Amino acid sequence: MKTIMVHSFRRGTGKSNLVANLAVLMVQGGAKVGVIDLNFLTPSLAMLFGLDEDQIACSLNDYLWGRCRVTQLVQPVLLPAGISGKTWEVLLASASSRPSDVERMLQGRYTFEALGELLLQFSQAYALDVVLMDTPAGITPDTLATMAHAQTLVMMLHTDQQDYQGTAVVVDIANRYLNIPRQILVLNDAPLSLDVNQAMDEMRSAFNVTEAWVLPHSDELATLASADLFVLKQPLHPLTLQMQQLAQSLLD
Amino acid sequence: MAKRQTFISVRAKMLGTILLLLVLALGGTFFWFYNFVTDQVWQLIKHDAETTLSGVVDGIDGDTFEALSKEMTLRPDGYTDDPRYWEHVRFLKNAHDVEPRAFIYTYIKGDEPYQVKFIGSNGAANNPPEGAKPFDVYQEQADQTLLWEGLKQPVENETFTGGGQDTYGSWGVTVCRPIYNSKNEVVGAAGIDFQTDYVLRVQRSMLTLFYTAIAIIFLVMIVAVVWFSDRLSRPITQLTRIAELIGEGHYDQDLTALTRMKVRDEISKLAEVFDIMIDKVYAREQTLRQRVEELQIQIDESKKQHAISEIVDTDFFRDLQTKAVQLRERKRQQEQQGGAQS
Repeated sequence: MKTIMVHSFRRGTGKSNLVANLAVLMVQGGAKVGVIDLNFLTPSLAMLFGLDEDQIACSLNDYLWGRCRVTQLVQPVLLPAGISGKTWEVLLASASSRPSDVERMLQGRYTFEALGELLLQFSQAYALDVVLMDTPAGITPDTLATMAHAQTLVMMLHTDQQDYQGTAVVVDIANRYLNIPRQILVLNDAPLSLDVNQAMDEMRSAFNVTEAWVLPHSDELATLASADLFVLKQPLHPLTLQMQQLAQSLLD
Repeated sequence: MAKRQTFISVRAKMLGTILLLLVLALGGTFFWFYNFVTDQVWQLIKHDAETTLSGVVDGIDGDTFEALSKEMTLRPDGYTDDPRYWEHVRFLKNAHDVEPRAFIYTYIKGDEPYQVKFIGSNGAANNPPEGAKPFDVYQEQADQTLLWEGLKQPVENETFTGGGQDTYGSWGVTVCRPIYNSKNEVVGAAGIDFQTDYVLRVQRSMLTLFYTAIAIIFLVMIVAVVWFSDRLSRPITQLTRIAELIGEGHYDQDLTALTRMKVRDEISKLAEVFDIMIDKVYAREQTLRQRVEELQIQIDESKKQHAISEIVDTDFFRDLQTKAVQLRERKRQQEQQGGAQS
């Protein structure tokens, strides 16, 4: 099983959106995909996949507090049938968005071991090919523990100097101290006037990574306002095609 | 909603305008010419008729004519054996031979008002005789007296088109003049009819000539306008096509055929300006293309190292790091075993 962590130094770089869309594309590519929303403060994947808070009987918070098993935690999300008529399924483990749960989670975080147990049980119970982990922005003990488990770190950033500085710190820790085998930088919502090739070269050289991607700004994605899954709404959009390449690259 | 605009090509506009002007100019000219010629022909015919009539009246001896009209007895066929009659009609025929358009006759006052009786006619000298016989009665309407008036003074009718019509045929011009005896009394009159056909023929041939000329001029003008408008609009059409191509981003357009014409005009000047414009637009687009933004990432290394130290130099992180190393080592071994087993 591939363990992919999607992270960023600053908030609002589009992590959850990318995780949800990558999950859909990977499932459509034939992979068995699990998604873990570790964003305990502001979980958003359930909403992106069209799940109501009431539909989640057992949240990740409940699981970590030992209230339910992994099979109760995981929600199979059926995706609308595409042209082929086949229905897809994403397996989602979502944090709770109930205010009381959020507050309690602030007091006690999950540990390296707890996450390891979750990943093990999740992958064994559902025979996952890949698990995508959506994490809160910044450098916290939680994110460091997640990084310690990740085999691939997808680091998202915006064109922002402060973001560059923080990203450099995270990438360096991932690379030199936690030995994450694969690190991918994704410059998201890039200005359309940006010279893409130059930008990728600059990212590779500044952050000392081998893989850099540029996802350009899209009015269609901005208009969608996270109300729906972009790749399902705009299957032939250039941005969808780029995400498809990224999903394929992550599975390789 | 945008108003629907009608497209009319330059060629059609030129053709329409020129043909309209041509119709007006030629029509006007023809109207004037038709009237002028008709008037001239009318004057000429009148003059000829009067000259002939004057000659005829001068040649008739009034006393003899008076005696003939009074003494002549008729045969059952309506003619007479009176030699004076035959001499009279031969004289009329001689005059007709000199002016074949003129049909000449003589007459006297009839028994009723506005009535005349014919004496001689040039046709009577033909074999067999034709035209009015001696003492044939001709009754005119009170409001249309011509021959009746001719017994008092020289007259001419003003009817031109269509002419007068009577039992003897259609006439375009009729002139009459009294015949006097030696006592200067009116003893009768002579009249000449010019046939309508002649005048109508003149008009008809004029119309035919006009229509032929109009047809030829129109044909020539249409060909000329089409040729000229084609010459004029072709460069515009070419420029339009080039403009479309440029709009699609194909800047490599060759305008030399338009800019290097032997005779320069507004179009070649437009093409020249257009050519310069293409270069400028192309240059501007190139500049815009080059103005793409470059990503510049600046990282403060000391700050970065400081931030990293703060994180990694903690017991928590060292512990995590150890666990991570162990985890990865375990996974590596698992993968190797998995790879060996498979």
